Amino acid sequence: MVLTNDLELMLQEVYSLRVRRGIHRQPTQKGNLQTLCGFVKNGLGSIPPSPSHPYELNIGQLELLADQLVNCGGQCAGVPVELLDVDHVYRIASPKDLTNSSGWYKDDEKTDAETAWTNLKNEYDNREDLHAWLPLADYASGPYRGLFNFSWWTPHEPTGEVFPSAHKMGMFSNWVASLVFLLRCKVKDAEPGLTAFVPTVVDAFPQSVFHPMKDTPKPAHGLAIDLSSGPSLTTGVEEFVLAPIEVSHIDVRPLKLEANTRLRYVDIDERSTQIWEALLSYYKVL
Amino acid sequence: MSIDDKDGDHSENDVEEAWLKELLPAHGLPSLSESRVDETQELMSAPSALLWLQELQLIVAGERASKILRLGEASQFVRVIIDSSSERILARRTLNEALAEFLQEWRPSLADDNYAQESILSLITAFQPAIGFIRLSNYMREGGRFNNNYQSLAAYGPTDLQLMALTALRAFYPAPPPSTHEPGFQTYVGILRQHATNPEYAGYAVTELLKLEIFKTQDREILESIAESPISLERILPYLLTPARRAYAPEDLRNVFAHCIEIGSWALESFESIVGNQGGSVDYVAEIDFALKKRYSQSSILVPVISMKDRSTYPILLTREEIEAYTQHRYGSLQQYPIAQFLHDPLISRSALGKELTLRLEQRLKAPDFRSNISAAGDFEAQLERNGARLAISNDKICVRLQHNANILLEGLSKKALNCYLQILMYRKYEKFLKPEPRQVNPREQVDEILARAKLAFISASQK
Repeated sequence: MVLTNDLELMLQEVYSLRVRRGIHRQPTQKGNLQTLCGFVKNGLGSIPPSPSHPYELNIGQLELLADQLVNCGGQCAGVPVELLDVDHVYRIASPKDLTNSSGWYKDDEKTDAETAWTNLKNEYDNREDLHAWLPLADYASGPYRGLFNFSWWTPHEPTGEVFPSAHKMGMFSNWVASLVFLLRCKVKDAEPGLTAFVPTVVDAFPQSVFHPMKDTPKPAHGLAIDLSSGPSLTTGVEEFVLAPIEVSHIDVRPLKLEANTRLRYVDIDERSTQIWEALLSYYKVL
Repeated sequence: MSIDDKDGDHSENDVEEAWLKELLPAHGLPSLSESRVDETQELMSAPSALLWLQELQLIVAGERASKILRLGEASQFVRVIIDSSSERILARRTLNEALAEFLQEWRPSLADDNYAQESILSLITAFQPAIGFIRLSNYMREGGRFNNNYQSLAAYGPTDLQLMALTALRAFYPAPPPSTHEPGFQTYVGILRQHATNPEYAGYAVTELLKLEIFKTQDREILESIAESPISLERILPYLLTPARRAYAPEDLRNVFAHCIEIGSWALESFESIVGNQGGSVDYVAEIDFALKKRYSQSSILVPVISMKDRSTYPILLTREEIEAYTQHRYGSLQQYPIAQFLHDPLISRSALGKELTLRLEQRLKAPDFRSNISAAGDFEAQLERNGARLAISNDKICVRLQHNANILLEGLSKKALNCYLQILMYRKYEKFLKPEPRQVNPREQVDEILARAKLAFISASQK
């Protein structure tokens, strides 16, 4: 059994290390990072309990942090990358993320995302072409935004049971919902060319798992941390952040992740002390 | 370890170290008395109603917000805990017990915390505890309202908790129950009927009532809902076109189309555009022309046909009255077509152009007084001139002369309108020789004046 204080201490240490390595590897973001750290220390303290890191905030604190992140304007400010040799980029999204991020046509499915998932799954199962993806534009309009107005993508298609792919994308098992939408963004079709950005420490500020790429030499992509590679963690798949994208460039595929499958990957969970120990070791040598 | 770009150089300057020390947490071991087992992990390994109750309280209080935000909503967070539990059946059973106990004390109120309500509604929708239905329906049938514009972080913007509450109730009755006399079902139908008269929720409520077979597409309520809330059609029509409803589509579409005819042109246009958004189209068998009226009594009639992208087609069989009304709408909308666009549209044939211009002039010359007709004819001429055309007389007939000298005869103009226009031309020619007409006094004004005078006389007489 993991003790809450052990976890809390490890998260504090992860935060310290993340900030120190972040400043060192991405000096261009130093000012923003300083502002955000100051905000966590002083601004969020107004809502008890006073946080010592930004990874387990309550709703009031999260709302304040969200405003601060927008005001600091440092998001999607990493190195812009033209995705020339990539056909598609992929993302694992929860039902609510998809219905809220896009101009979902049916209002009642916005407030009841599981029904949106069920209806889309029925359509998907009745399709003629078994390998087909469903065009998101059939269900939504406008841009797909993502939380805080940007979203994380990788050129590696999640396959099989999804969890191994999610771990390579730096996601814990419990960050993956039981009902998910796989999203595929058509990079080649995007007109004008879709611009992706190398993620910065500001983009990743509210999350505990992140590998900051060095500002110099100019990076061609971000890199996730492969959480399944423990105890000595290694880098995972390439990753990018994208500013809001028109839904016409996105295809969708609904997937149900069975409980029995999840149980096989339950050890790569946010509550596992081993994984935090491995992450601390990773950050220490970064 | 295969880290791509290790450098091993971690030297920070003193200033940097100072602010880092100030802003980052100072590490220290907590006392043993503060140490406790992580509640969620305990719940996963040994689920109990008590632990769930504790977890639900933390969820609703917003203490789990960071984790919930990653998964979208409270119900997904709870599903992940259940699926990660080694005792899944026990986890689900004890969750139901805890939810029932938690909701026993819950009373919805507009004054409540919006985040808490969003979380509770998400849990009721996903897990359908009976007490959740009772609490919600009791509140809503008495007119209780939730915030319809909550700026939710999880929803990345405004979210409608009222609609969320309706969808939570829907989870209990996705289809009609075996007995429609069931009190819970009757209460739910009552709540939907309440919302069917609210323009904001009419579309949703009417569609749900259709799904529950309380309303039929031919019902007057459907027409009223579309008429009062134009966006209702955006919800009703896609539902009627779903594969589940296909068997009833010919009748459903006919009924709704007939409602649209009764409502007016905008409803018909809306119908066409929504069918278009669903990947279909509305095509018409015959050209729209009043001459067709003569044939209406026969079997050959104007038939709109809906074609969907899966190649299914639905002819809409209308009654003679509906066809007439429909043709009037179509013809009426043609008249509203701006003249500039009309004159230069290559797709409009010369004969159609002639008919349309004739009709427009005819309508302008219908005023009972001559002066209004002069002014209306002047406006019509000015519109034509702005588009490089003008009215002219050719062989005792009125025609429109276009830039390229291609005259369009207004052959169908009535004798009355033709005479009126000729009089206008005569009037314009001899206007300068006419004396100005004396000012006409309104008889009503005269009466008022006499009454006022009489009143004054009466007052002065009574004072004396």
